[in-house]
Amino acid sequence: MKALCNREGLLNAFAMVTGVAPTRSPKPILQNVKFVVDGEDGSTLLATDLEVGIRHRVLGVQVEEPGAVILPTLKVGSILRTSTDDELSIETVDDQILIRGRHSEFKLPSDNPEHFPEVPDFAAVSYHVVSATDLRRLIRRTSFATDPESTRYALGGCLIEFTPESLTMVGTDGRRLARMIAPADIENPDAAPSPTGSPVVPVKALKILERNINDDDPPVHIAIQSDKNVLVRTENAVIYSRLVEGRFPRYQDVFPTHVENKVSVEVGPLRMAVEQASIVTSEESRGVDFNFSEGVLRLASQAADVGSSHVDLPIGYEGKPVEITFDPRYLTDALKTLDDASTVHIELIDSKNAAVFKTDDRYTYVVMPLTRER
Amino acid sequence: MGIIKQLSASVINQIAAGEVVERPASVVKELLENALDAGATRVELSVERGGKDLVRVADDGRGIDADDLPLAFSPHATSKLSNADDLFRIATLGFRGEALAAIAEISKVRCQTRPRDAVEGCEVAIEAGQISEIRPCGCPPGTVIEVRNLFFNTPVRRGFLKADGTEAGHVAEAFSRVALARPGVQFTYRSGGKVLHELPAASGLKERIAVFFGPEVAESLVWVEGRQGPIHVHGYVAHPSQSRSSTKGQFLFIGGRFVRDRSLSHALGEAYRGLLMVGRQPLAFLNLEIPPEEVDVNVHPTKVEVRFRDSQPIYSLMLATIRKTFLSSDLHARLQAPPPAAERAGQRGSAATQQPPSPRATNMPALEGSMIDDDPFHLGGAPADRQTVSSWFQPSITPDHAPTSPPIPTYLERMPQPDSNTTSRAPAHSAPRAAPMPSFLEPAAPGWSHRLPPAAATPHFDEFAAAPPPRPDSAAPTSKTSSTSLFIPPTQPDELHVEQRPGSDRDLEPPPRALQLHDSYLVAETSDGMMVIDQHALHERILYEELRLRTARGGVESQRLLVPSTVDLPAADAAAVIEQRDALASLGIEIEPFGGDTIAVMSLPAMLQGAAPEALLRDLAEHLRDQPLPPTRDALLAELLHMVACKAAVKAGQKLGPAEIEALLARRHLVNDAHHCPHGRPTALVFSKAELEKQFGRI
Repeated sequence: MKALCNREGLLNAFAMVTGVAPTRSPKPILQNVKFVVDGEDGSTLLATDLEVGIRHRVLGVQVEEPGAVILPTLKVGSILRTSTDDELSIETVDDQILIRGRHSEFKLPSDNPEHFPEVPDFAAVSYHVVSATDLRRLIRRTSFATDPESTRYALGGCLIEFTPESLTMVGTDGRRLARMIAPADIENPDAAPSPTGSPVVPVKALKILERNINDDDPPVHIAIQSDKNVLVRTENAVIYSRLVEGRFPRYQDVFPTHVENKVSVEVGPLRMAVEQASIVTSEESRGVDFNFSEGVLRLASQAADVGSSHVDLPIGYEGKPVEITFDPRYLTDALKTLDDASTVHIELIDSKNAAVFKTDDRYTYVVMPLTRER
Repeated sequence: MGIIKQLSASVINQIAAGEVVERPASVVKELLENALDAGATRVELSVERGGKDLVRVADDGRGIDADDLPLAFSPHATSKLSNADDLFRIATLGFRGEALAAIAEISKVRCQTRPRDAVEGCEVAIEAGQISEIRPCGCPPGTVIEVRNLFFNTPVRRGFLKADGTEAGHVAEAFSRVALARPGVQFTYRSGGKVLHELPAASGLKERIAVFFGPEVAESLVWVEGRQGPIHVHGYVAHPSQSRSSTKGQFLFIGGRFVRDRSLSHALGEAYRGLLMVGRQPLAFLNLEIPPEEVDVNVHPTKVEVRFRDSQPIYSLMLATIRKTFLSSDLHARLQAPPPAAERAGQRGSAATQQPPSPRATNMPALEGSMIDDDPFHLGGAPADRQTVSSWFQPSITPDHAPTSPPIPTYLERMPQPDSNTTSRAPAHSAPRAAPMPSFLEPAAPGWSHRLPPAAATPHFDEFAAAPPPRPDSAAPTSKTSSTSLFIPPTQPDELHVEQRPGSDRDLEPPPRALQLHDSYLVAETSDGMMVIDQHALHERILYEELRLRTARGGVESQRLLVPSTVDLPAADAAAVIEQRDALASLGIEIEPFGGDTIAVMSLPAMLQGAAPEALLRDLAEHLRDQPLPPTRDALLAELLHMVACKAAVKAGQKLGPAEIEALLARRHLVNDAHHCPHGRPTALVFSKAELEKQFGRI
């Protein structure tokens, strides 16, 4: 194989795929990326850890001799970053890779590209279409609530649910739950297999997907393949991921069926107040008491050896006083993903029951309170 | 009709034999106990082929009258009991009157006996319960019982016996239990014609332990004693560096009887909590003195099981006694450095039998006074230093086992010192302050405790001690290590627990210079050497203690779960956690029964971020199930804190900056028990400066 590559174009693609390649693997070839050059179909960079895979288009490649090559991730990454050339020539000579710039030349050992595992391509005829902006927001607002360390694997990813008009994404770690719904279309609905099971996409794949889309990108295509895999096509890449096995909790049961107290608060000031109140907490005493009373929300915290604090926030609350304790990190996690100028609607029952935070753009966040033995 | 029959006496006895006599070792136990009940001061046990062919016990006890002899071998006949009320005041080991009859039913027994005041003895032979004529015979005062061909008429049981070696092992165990219970009685044990143990009556419990468990264990023993009302616990427990994988090394004696009791064994385990690695069991040799009416030994024919009228005070006394002793002790693992090759052979040779520190501790004051002060090279200190390294054990308590007059350590013989013989062999008398010691020959346990120099005379400081208080007998550097106080020596019982250890707790400041090795270990300079610290273990311990302090002050926060998490547990575990529902709730774990053996977890402690409800509940259930007594809230909390501390502590392989190292070492003194991480691994190893100097040939 031989090609003359635009360094910028290759570096961009490289940066996108290297996140997928594992740094350590029992299968060492996975620590590399595969570069396929082809004059007709375009050139792609491939990386996979067998769970998640990515095929990323590389722009600005002049193919002299089509073929494939295995690039060692670290070495080639460094070469691309440090080089000042606009174009680099990459070719295989015997068993080696020869990378040449104007004033530099690198010879690297290489594996046989045949040994690199196949990375599935997007082949679905029927798929869901969602706007790039919405998908990014869905990921940002739900993936933080997952628990990738959990022994219940299903909590290590986000549940995705399609209707003909919408896409719902849900993430939970068993203590809080985030759900967001965005509009989505369906392409070729007749050819679509009827969905079964509950597809849960691992957080790693979601993070990579989030990095690969920009807000002004064209809509993204999503296809669930035989309840095992998910394939996502963005403007420049195809991302493949195995779905997480295991049963996702019945999240619908989590939402309280009734509300006793409601209040709407502006996100920015609330986030600031929670962050302030959480200064005086510790690992063992992390709770912040939220005292809702007429016209004011008082956040009070107290931790042995750390001190105590209270922060008052004027709010338009008119219900009966409610005192409820939260782990403030659970709140800031979610508030950070919201627009500071937007409004969040808080729905409360009492100190023992879940609190619900809703936004106008169909985002719902449920948090279980802390209780403290006094 | 005619289906139900009255069994013959012989069959009844054979059935009874099944309960009492399981294997030759059971015969050994019964016969030895009979000998002791007969007031013997000398007991000889001989066995052939692990006791299958012959068990012979000879004693010098009070013997049996010729008239009583036939009765001795008939069931439910005994001299030790006359009415039912006596059952609750049992002072003898046996009392049921079953053993001899049962044994005689299933073997060939010959008994020769002569009361002390009788002119001649008499002899009787019994085969499968058939008693022979009683013939006069000549024999020394006392009783000799020979049991041959055990189970010869019950071939099935004989078939169940294991190999000779295995049976011999059981016999040895039975023998050791009796011998440890009665250090005041002379025991001889022969197996296959060879004398395996010859235990003079003069020796104390510690010497007996050394015989059965080796000198290393004997050196590591810590004297504990506690008293509450009529209950009195005393004996030895081993330093945590000595442990076993089973509870076989735990000897609990009540009224000279070896017993097993789950709750007391658990008290022992609790006392060692955090000091032993998971799965290891402590060694202990404890005597429990308790009024006979408070304990029922008549639970099972073998009387290994007992019932206490009220076990709670005994449990807490035992736990408190041992724990107090440990808290006032310095339990640092000491490093066993290999001796220089040239000396190795000699030292090994003597190490097996010697108790190295024994000559020293008492003679050191004399030694130092006479020679070290004017010996700039500390020649006299050399052997002393070896001891501190070759054993974590504190020489300050060593006079305790001096009485056995150990072989002279080879290095002492080589010492350029005219009176090395005296100093090494007659320690007690060479030390002026030890002069008023009573005779060590006194067999009773409290007797030997007086052999120790008074606690006040024993300097207490450890390797972190900045400088020893100026004191004539500890001026030399050697005495500094030697006096490292492992524990309170068995002086007067009332002095035992009041003494405070001025150890590392405050002597550590300012933090010593330290350096990190392999991103895992810290090497710190100490006032008399160096210390290698496992950073993870130490940090874990520190965090654990800090957590404990903090949670003791405030409540435990509980994070509720969105959806109750269901956990399937084995029935016993499920029952155990449900029973402790309230205690768990106070720790932030709310559970509900969920039908069958399924438990629904409603909330978890907030500090256990990301803990899986299932794993947590399983761990706790296991913990709860293994407790013979309902655990306290504190014990459960400790369990949780261990989990938190382990997660949060710096890991091995984590690089620490100088400031972090300093901070870690500076917080070391905050920890009540810094010697071990919560899992019981040692946190630090100690090298003494003297040992380094010796290894480099400087001294």
